[in-house]
Amino acid sequence: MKLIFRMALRNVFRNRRRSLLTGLMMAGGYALFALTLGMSGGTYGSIIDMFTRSRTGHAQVHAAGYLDKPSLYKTIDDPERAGRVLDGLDAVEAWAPRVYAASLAFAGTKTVGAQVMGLDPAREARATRIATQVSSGTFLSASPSAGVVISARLASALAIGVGDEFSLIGQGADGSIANDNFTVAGVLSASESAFDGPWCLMHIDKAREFMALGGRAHEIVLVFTDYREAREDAALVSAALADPGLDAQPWQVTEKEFYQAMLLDRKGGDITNLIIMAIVAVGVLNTVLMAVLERTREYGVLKAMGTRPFSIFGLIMTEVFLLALMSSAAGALAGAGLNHWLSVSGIPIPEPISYGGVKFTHMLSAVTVETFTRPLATVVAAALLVGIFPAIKAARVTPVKALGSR
Amino acid sequence: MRKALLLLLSFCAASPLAAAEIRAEVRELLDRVDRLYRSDRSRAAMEMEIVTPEWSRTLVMDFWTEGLDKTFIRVKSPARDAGSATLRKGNEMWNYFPKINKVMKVPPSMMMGSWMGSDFTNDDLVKESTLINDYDGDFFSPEKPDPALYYIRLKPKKETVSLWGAIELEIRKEDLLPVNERYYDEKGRLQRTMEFSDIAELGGRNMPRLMRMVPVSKKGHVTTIRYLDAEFDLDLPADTFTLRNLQRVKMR
Repeated sequence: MKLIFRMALRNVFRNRRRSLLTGLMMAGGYALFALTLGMSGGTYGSIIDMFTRSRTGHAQVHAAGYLDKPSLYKTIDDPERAGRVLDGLDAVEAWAPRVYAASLAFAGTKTVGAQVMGLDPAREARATRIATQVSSGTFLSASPSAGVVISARLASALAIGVGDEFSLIGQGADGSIANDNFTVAGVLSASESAFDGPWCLMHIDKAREFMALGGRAHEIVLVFTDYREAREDAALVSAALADPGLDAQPWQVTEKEFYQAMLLDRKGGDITNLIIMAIVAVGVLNTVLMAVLERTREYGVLKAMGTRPFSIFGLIMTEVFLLALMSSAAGALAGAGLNHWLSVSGIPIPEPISYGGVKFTHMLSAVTVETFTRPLATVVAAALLVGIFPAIKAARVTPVKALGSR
Repeated sequence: MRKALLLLLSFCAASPLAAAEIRAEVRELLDRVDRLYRSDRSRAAMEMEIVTPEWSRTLVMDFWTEGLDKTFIRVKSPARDAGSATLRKGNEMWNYFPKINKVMKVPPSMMMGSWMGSDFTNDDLVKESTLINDYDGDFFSPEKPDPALYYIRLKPKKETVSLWGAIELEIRKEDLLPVNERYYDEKGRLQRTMEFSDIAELGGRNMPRLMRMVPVSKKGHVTTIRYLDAEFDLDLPADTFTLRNLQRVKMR
C-alpha cells in the first residue's frame, strides 16, 4: 500500500509536463467553478441586501397570524418592551416599528384607495434605505406632522405633487372613522422605489393618532449584522421575545414570492454549474486517459513482473487522486484570489440597475465556504470517476500485447 | 273525508275576500312599524353602543326625520367623531367629516354597508327601503306561537334590491309595537336579529326605547340604539335636510 502510494507520487512527478497539463485542466476547472459560485453568491447577496434594505428588513416581528391575514387589530401591543429585548441582542443591528392601514385618499375630485404606512424616521434610517427613495421634496421629518411622503403611483392617481393637500379616510382601531388632512412633503421615485402601489408614508405617531392605535405597532422590522444568518437570527429573536403572541420571521418567509423567484433563478444557475462541472470532468477524463494510454507498455512491464491487476488499478486511482488534490489546492488559491478581488472591485455593469434607492453598478463576487467545498468535491469526484475506466483498462492489459505495442 | 272536503270548500270560498282583508291588515301593521320612530317631522336624541371583539364605543347623536324619505343625523360624541353627519334625501345619501371638511356621497352599492362601524347598515339608519313599499307581507304561524303576538313574514318585492331573502316580524297585538325582527338570507339562514324592548313614553308616544341588533355571522358584535328623548310633529328649520346643514359643525 505504501509502495503504491510512493510509486503514484513518483509517477506524478516523473512526467512533469503531462502532470502539469492535467493538473492545469483540473485547477482551471476548479477556479472556474469557484468563480461561478462566488459570482452567483455575490450577486444574490447584493440583490438580497438591496431588496431587504429597501423596505422589508432581514426579518420582521408581527403579532401571531398577521402575516397570513393582516388586520388592523392584530397588533404588537408593547413594541417598547420588544424593542428593549431587541436592543439586548448582538445579532440585531437595527429595528424599526411600523403600522399599516388601508384608506381612501381624496384630492379635488379624485378618489383612490391608498395604503398607509406609519414609520419612525430616525429608527428607519438605521434599518432601511426608504429615505433615499424620495425623488422630489423631502422625507418625513423627525417629529410627527401632517407632512407625508407618497408613492409616485398615488401622486399620479390623485394628480398632486409636493406641497399639495389631500385627505385620507379610513377605519380607526376604536371603530371611529379615521379622517384627516395631509400635505405632500415628498414623492417617492417612480422607478427606484420599493413602493409600487398607492402608498402614503407618514410618521408613526401621526399614523397611530390617525388610526387611534395608541402605542401599538403592526410590524417591527429587523436588520441583522449578517443577512445570511436571517433564519437563525429570526429564531433567536423569537426565543428572546418569549411571547407566543409574537412571531419573528426571516425575509425568506415574509417575502415568500421574492424568495421563490430567487430559488427558481438559482435552479437555472445550477444547470449552468452542472454544465461547467461536465466540462471539467470531460477535460479530466481526456488527460487521464491519454496519460494512461501513453504508458500502456509500462503497465505491461509491471504486469509481466507479477504485479496484480488490482494493484495497478489502485496505483492509477491514487495517482489521479493525488493529482486532483494538488490541482484543487492550486485551484482553490486561484479561485479564492479571483473571488476576493471581484468581491472588492466587481465587474462594472454597463447599464446600472437601481432598485429601492440603491444603484446596482457592479456585479460583486463573494468568498464563501461553498466556493471551496463544491469545486473540490466536483473535481475530485470527477477525476476519480473518469480515472476508473483507464485504470481498469490498464489493470486488464495483457503483458505480451502491451510490450508489443508501440 | 267529509270534514276535509268541507274545510277545503270553506277555504276556497272564503279565501279571495279574506286574502284582501289580510293584506290590508298586514300593510297597516307594516306601516305602523315603518313609522314607529318617525312622523311627518321628528327629532330624537339617541345613544348607539357598538360592541365588537376588538373595540366598543358609544356614539351620542341627534336624529331628524321628515316623512319617510328625509333623514339627518349628527354625531355629538365621542370627540373623535363629533360633528360627523349623515343626510339622506330621496334616493341620495351623504356623509360629512368635519376634520377634513368633506361631504361624501354614499353610492347606492354602499347602502347595505355599515354605518359608522355599527351593525346597522346605512339603509337601516336612513330607511331608504321601507317595509311597506319594498316587501310583500303575510301572516304566518311559527311552531309555538305566542297568542299575544302577530307573526308576519316579509319577502322582498321583485323589483326590490335587498340583502334579505325574508324578514320575520313579531308584533304585540296589544299595542301593535314590534318585539322582534329576524332577517334571513336568500337561502333561509338567519343573518341577524333585532330586538325591541324598554317600552316607554317618548314625545307623547309609546315606543320601544331600545333596539338591539345582533348579527349572527359576526361573533361578539352587538349594536344597541337607545332613544334618550324624542319629539314628534314639531317645526324644523327649513334647511334641516340640506347639504349646507351637513357642514354646519356647530350643533343646534
